[in-house]
Formats: sequence, structure tokens, C-alpha cells
Amino acid sequence: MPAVSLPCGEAECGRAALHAWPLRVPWLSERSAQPDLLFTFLAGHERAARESVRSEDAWKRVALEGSMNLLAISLDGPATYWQLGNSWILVSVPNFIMIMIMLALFVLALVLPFPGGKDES
Amino acid sequence: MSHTTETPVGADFEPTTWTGAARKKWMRTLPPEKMLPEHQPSYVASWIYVFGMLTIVAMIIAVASGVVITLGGVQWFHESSTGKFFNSLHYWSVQLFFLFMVVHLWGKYWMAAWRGKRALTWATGVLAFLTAVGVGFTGYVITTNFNAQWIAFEAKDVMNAIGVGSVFNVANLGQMVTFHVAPLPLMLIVIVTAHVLLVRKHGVVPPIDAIDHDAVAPAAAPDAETETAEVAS
Repeated sequence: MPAVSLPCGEAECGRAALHAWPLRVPWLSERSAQPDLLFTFLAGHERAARESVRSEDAWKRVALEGSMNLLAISLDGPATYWQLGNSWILVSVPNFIMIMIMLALFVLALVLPFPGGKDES
Repeated sequence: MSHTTETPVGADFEPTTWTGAARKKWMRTLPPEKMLPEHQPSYVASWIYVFGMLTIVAMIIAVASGVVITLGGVQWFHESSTGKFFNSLHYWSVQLFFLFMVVHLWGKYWMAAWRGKRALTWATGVLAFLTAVGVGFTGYVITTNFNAQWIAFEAKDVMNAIGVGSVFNVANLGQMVTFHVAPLPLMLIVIVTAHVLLVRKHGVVPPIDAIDHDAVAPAAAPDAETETAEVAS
């Protein structure tokens, strides 16, 4: 795979990617790429990314190989923290997300009907 | 070769040995129909009752994958693709273990799961949670990356403050590995086993407004079908 020069610094592209990816998941699920290419796409530089891979076949191979990279989020750095005003309430974003997931699971477990369960009406 | 016919454990069974006495006590406390029940009350048909078992399944996967990566060794699980797979399996099963355990805890807390002589069941659950935190903590520490070092040296002050820093030294990697792979997981398995046996003994806790089948004396218990209908209505 030819080397790709990123249109921005890695950190900058990474931030851009994190902001952009929720909007482009359907498109990327078909043709994603290695992380550096991925950052390039997500930063809005599709042409630059495409031009870095010579043939369509190579493009597809790269897309296939890189599809799993969509699941990878760099954890190699300190988390962002949220603080409620100047209060003692301070939580890291990953922990906050996990707490929200657990709360959602809890609520869903209470309200969703259980398959095979008796009809309470 | 002669065979000895064992006397079934009944009301008239009088043991003459400690093994017989232990069997009698076990059969009184946890008869087969309680140990491996075929039916559960209707209120168990709810997703909130699933999270205990999900926690155990995640724990089994975490322990099994942990055994595999321990046997394979650090180099194997860091460099071979199979090793990386098991390493990831271990990590993510632990994440799910804690996630399911917390939802299980919330469910049982709001159900006041210590009702109906289930205080010991609740206490073993709390103990399992605390032990699991210990297993998780030592697991994070032995990854030896920057995050691990940060956690270790934050925890060091806590350990020193509570006076156990000299015997539980988070900066001692060998000790942390030992704690993570042997005593703490074994403690966790024993506590979880006790927890499950207590659940079997006392039965799953019913919702607040439902009749507690297991807390009602058999003679005083109403007809089972009528009671189930009452619970469902």
C-alpha cells in the first residue's frame, strides 16, 4: 500500500475523524480503509485518499482490510473529562458513556417484554 | 466386589458418620429440586432477572480466557494473532462482566433483594462485587502501560493511607500478577458459587408487590397456579 500523506497532522485528522464519523458510517461500512486513509476520508479529503491507492482492486483490498479499523478508537491518551460547573461532579467521557449504557440497559430490562413471558394484561 | 446400598436421605435417616451428616444437612438445605429447579415463578420472566446469569457467563469467559493467556505467556498474547484475540476476549469479557454486574446490582437494590431471609445472598453479592474490583484493579495494574502506572501510583497512596501498603504493594509487579491470577480470582469464584447456592436455597427475590413463594411456609402456601395468576395480574 503506498504511503499516504495526511492533509493534516495526525492529532488534527484524528479529531476531525471523531467529529465526522457518525455522519458517514453507512458510506464507510462499504469502503473504509487503513487508519491513515480513514483519517483522510473522514477529514473530508476523499479524493486525496483515493488518489493514494493506484487501482480500484487495490482500493477494494485496502477497504476490506481496513473495515475492522472502523471499530478501533485510539485509547492511547488521556480521556476528556466533564465537570459540572465548579462542582465536585467530574466524570471522564468514557465512564459517562458506560454509565449511560448501563442505565439504558437497566431501563430496557424493565420495560421490554420478555419472550415467552406471561401477558400481564 | 461387593456394593453397599446407601440409605436414601429421608426424615428417618440417622447418619452415623460425618459424611452422612453432611449429606443429610445438604439434602435438607438444598434438595435436588431446589438445586436444579425446572420451573421458576412467573415474575422471573423479565429481562431484569437475566443480568445475574449474564454476569456469570461473562465471568466464565473472563476466567477461561485468562487461563489461556496465562498459559500462553506475555509474548504470545502480545504478538500472535491468536494470542491477541484471547487477550482482547479477556479484556472485553471483563468489561461486560462489570457492566452486567452493575445492572444486576441496580435491579436487586431497587427490588430490595435482601428481603425474605436473603441478607446473606445480598452480602455475598456485595463481597463478590468488591472482590471483582480487586481482580479488575490488579488486572489493570499488570498491563504496565502508562495508564497502569498512573492507577498504581494513585492507588499506592490509598493503600498506604489504609495501612496495607506494606503487604499489598501496588508497585510490586510480581505481587500484583500473583494476586490477579491466583488468590483473587479463586476468591471470586468461591464467593460467586456461594452466592448462587444461596439464590438456589432461598429462591430468586420477587418484585416488591409479588408473593414470595420461597418465603411462604409450604403448609401455608396457597395453590401454586392461583398464586402465579395473582402475581401475573
